[in-house]
Amino acid sequence: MIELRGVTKRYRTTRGIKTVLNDISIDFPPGTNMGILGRNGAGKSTLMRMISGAELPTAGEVFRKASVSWLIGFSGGFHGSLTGRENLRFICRIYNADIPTVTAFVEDFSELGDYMEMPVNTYSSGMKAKLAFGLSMAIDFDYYLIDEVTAVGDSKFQKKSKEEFDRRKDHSTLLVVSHSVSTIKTHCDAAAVLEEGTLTAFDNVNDAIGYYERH
Amino acid sequence: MHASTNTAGTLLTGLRVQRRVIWALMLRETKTLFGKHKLGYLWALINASFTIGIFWGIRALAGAHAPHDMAMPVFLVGGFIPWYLFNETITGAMNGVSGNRALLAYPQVFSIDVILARTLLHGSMYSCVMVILLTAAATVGHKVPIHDPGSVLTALVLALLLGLGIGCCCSAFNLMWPTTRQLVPMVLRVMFFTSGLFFSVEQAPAYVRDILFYNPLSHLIELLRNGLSAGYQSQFVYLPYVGGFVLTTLAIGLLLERYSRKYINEDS
Repeated sequence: MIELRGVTKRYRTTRGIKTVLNDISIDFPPGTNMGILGRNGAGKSTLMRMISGAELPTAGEVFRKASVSWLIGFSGGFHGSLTGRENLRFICRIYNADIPTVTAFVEDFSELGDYMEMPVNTYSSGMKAKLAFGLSMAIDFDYYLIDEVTAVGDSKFQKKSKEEFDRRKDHSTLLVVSHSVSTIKTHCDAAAVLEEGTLTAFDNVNDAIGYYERH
Repeated sequence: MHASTNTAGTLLTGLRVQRRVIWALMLRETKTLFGKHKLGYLWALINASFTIGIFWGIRALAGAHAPHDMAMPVFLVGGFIPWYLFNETITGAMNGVSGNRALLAYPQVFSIDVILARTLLHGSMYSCVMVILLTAAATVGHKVPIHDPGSVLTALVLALLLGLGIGCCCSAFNLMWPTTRQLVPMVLRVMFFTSGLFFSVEQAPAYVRDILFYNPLSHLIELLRNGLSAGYQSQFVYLPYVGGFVLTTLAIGLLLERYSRKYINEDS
């Protein structure tokens, strides 16, 4: 279970204080793949960083009673001058995962081949995403936080990812943020809409999409 | 993570995670700091030897002798190693956090981990460099009596902690006001010339010495030299001052690190 209680995030900008998230309270129960819809700049990524614990909210609390992945999106926290394999080792170490097992899985899943031995800054964005995605799949999390699934790789890789998600549906839960309605439709059981710092939750994806499209 | 959960257990798990993270960061930093060069860590040794060599040359040309019959290279090692520990830790802490923002996306990685990893790395590296340089000096026939290993160790550890405390402060200030990055090297430059790296603070004129007394690094350099040679016994060292300074900066630095966390975000 992940619970958000009164989560508020404000940033100081040159034009004064900007409230990105305003008093958000929501539960993410295990087993319900949840989509969060929002336009560009609605604060989706900020919300996800709060959920993952990468950033602390200005006010309110986030309770994580399960293992939660880092925010999986385009780049991930890779170091450009290190190779894919070196980055993999680092992430295994901080998550206490078995390096050989993870390596075997990632090599098979991400299809990067010899690129595993190349510095990550030689990768295309698709390749980086594949590495990040494969890695997060190899380390077993209860919750996966995903930023714009559509960005991850080509259609073949997306199909593979979808299959992998479906396979682990009974023990892993997805939280997906996207501005794209179709992404949320493919992956989620329920959805919420984020606008102007406020989150409105719906039990049904179609209700959420209807609300999102009206606004 | 409710407050009602076992606090001691949570703390223990937290420490275990932190140890893992720091170890992973150290392994990674060795690669990113030196991995791209062919000679790797050897550069730390080459760099230090080169600088000490230059100053040795200059001092020899000027006809100067190290005070108290100490061998010049040993005297210089005593000055430069604490300096490297201090300087590299501060610079490393400051650049480490701003340069590793991507890493902070992993919730278990905090800026203090990056700082500690770099501090430990620099500490072990420059201790090795010191041992190698002293061995080299002994091999070519200089007297290197390690008179008091306790003082040597105290000086090295305190230099590292001093760098850590000030480094935490600088790193936090750097997140809040990026101008810090321009100012700190200027202050460090001044410290390079006023900490007695290549001269003995004790032999400076009294009015200069009274000012330099407030520079904690100069105490540590003298302390290290006291430890390295029986003949060299500087009365300048006043450890309670240095200890107090180190504890104060560490406390402020750690508080600021905590406080400045909210200034870390992807965009800035």
